Amino acid sequence: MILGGILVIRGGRGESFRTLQWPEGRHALAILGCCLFATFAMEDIGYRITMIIILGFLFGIVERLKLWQIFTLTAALALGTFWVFDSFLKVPLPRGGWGF
Amino acid sequence: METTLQNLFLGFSTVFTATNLFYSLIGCLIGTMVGVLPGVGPLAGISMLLPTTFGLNPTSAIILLAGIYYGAMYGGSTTSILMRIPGEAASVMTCIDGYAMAQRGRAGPALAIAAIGSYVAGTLSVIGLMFLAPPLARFALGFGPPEYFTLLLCGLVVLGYMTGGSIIKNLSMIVLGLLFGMIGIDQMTGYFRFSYGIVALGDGIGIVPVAVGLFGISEILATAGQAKRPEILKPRFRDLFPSRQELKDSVGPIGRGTLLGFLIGIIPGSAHIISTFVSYAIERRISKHPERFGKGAIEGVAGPESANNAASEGALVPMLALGVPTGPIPAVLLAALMVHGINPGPLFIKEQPVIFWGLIASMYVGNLVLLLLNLPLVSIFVNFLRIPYKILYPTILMFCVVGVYAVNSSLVDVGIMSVMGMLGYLLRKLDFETAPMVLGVVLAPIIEVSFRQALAMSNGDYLIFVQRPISSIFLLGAVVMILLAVKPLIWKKRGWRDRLTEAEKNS
Repeated sequence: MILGGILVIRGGRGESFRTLQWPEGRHALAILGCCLFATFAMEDIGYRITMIIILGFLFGIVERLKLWQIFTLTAALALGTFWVFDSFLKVPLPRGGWGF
Repeated sequence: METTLQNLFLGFSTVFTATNLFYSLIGCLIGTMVGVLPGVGPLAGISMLLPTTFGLNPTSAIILLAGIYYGAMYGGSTTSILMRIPGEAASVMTCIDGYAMAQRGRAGPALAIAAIGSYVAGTLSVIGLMFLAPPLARFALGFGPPEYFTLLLCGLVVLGYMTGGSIIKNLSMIVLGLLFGMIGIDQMTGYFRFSYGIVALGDGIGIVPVAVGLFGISEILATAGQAKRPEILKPRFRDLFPSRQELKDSVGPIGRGTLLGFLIGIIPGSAHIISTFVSYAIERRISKHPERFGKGAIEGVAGPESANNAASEGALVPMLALGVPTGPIPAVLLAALMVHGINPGPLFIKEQPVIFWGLIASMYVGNLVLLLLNLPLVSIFVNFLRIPYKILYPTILMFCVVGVYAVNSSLVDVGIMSVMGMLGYLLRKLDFETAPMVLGVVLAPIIEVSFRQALAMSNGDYLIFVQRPISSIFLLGAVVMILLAVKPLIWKKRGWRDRLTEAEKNS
């Protein structure tokens, strides 16, 4: 693992890596952050709240949609997918400590 | 012949129930949507929707997923023709003449010929699949562990060669996939390997989080924040009908594309992409007016589109007959069968005739559904392209999370998906192909067990792999592929692999 770490660090200084452009970097970081948030929070706060936070963040802060669009899309997608998967298709999704 | 017809009758009696017809229809419609939307490829689409099939019986589930697969292959042509954006990599060649036709006001006939070609190729390929898969499975019943190991080894090397880009990068991706596939409990000794004390990794890394991460999340990461889409052409239904001359000009390319696509589809690698290349090159070479190509030649749409659809069904031959996937999409379909408690392999057709022949019959029905429904609905599907990407990508992200979580109700899988997404994004930036890695993950347990069983048979003597005739043929095949890959280093000439790499980059 140590040798792997050294390899990654040295590779990062290489020509082909240094010349890369990252125009989508800000979006990519936000999306990865959302994935990690879902990994660590979904069991505790439940699927619906996690998705409301993630979608609200992406639509509202990253993409700057209008307020009514943020509310409509976030609520429809988070609650809609919960209904489709959990209630209709009987695939259990986490409900968290508050049962939501 | 008589047995085949009896079995086909069994398949049609399975499919012609209201439930299975409904799932075939839904699969085709979802698949077309998946194909139409750039950024949601068939692989990510199937992986995300896999959990929705858990409540279904295995036959309905595989009918639905296969419908998504070939529906997506069809749908990719729509964006290629109307926007010059390939919905998936196999539609790259359709962009050239399809979009040129659209600019000349012939978008409708281009879409119609793509649909007719896809239908003819899809249907004829199912006939090929129906006749080829059962005897191939019977032949493979004689395979022991050495043959199976060398077959898989040969398949992986062929995949490394046939996928675009550097073969060294492709082989390193295969090895990385094999390493990921070895995480978890050792099947022969029960030891935990490479799990670093994380109990949840005991079951290993699943194909779904890997596939969704590498293809779904990494695509979102790479494309989020992109510029506004170009204008979309919207053809009317009455404009769809091709002229008599266009129909006449398309007959030959459709026939040749079907044959080529089906044969190339059986080979591991980017078969559906390669087949479209070969088909386009052949059509241009044999045309009396090659100067028309690139300026809206109908043959440039008919050939590649037929080849693409034929290849996607040809790829099912080794998957269904041998249990060996030739690409990441058949690998996910294989995983879907396993999730439903079905063991793929040479005994699959014999032990599960209802599922196999039901799937075959559903393909006949599905291809017809695609032809009858999608042409009239093309203007509706085009509307999906009007959804702004800033709304689309958070939605896709949400489906990725819920799809991966639902497979095992495990947040560790969501974490694996996130890590794979980041890895896939970085690998794409550095021009690595991620498809060989997915196949490595899927095949790792099978290849490892076959290798160790073969060595147990020979008391550790590696010569067993060259002493047995079939296994030595597979090994020879692998060596030939490696030599072919080395050839451009000696003769500096731009080959088809360079052109394939270029097209994949452009898509």
